[in-house]
Amino acid sequence: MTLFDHTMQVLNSTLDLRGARHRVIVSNIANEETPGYRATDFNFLDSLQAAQRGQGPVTLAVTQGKHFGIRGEGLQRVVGKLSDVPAGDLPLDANSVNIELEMAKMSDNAGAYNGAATIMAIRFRQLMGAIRDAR
Amino acid sequence: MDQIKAITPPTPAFGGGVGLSQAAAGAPSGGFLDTLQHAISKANDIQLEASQATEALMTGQTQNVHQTMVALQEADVSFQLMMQIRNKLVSAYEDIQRMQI
Amino acid sequence: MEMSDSMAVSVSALDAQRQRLNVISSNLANAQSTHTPGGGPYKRRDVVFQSTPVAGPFQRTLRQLATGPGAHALDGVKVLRVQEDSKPGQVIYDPRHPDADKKGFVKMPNVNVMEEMVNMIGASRSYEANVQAINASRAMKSKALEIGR
Repeated sequence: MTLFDHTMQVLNSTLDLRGARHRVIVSNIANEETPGYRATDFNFLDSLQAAQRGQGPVTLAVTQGKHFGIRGEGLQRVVGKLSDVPAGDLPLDANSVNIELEMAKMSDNAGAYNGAATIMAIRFRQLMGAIRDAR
Repeated sequence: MDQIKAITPPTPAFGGGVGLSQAAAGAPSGGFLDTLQHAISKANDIQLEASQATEALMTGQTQNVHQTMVALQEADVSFQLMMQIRNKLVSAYEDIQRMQI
Repeated sequence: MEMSDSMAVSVSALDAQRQRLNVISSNLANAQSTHTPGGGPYKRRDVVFQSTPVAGPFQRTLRQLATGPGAHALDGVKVLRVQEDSKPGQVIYDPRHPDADKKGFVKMPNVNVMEEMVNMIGASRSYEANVQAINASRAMKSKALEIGR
């Protein structure tokens, strides 16, 4: 068992990406009533899944068609996408923040972040236990 | 031998079932090393399952949080048990070594 | 990732909503003020919000982690200015009023109490939402600190 194995890298990337998404959601919530503000979304699950399966980040496809990221290497370079949240009819102040949606997203995202942190803690504890108990 | 039998394997509380109880109790008779090897490979399998469950949860392929947490705990338990078996075997071996012929 | 960046964003929103609440309170308190030091009835005031970048090294991190437009994706909010509403208020006929003009009409402030109450509820709700955002940021930071435990 290497110290930072594949699963640890997935956990690590998850923490980075979930943290970034939290930041974006918090900004949406803060600007709920700013006239003309467009809500932003940060999506990365597709890229993360591809990297987890060893299919490298999309940018590598430019250099060599059949190039796949080394298992694990792609995980360090997972890139998510910022995009505008599609808004239906805009209200009078042209603000596209849907506060209920953003609150739900924040709650779900924070849960995922906390879950990843918890599991990482468990794994480190297991490693320490194994190291300590070996006689 | 008595020392090994003194370790009561935990009953599987979850549906997944800890294969380690079979490893410790009903392993093919072949002595110390076989039992330990069996325990190690079972613990390893459970660890791999836990890793896969974790990755699936992180990448959104599953929403089943509790299943992943349970798998992690199973891995923990089976690993601890395997270590205990190993330690008992080692100390039994040392005891035998110390016996004067 | 800079967790204190998130909190800075939320705090900017709390600040902005509190200023908004102050202005609303002032409007409500002066709903009947027909006389101001500058002359004339009280004119209701309103805050104008503007998204504003919250300083942070996180801009760099986000650029590493994200493609796509959205530098504004990290913005907090601030009160750009407090502006007076020059919409004329109601004019009522009350010759006995101390501020009545020669014809007996009194210009009332342009404060609509119902509208102010609705705005007040909106400001409180927004304040509450940003408090929850701060709590979430704090919980996440705690969990991250537990990794070493």
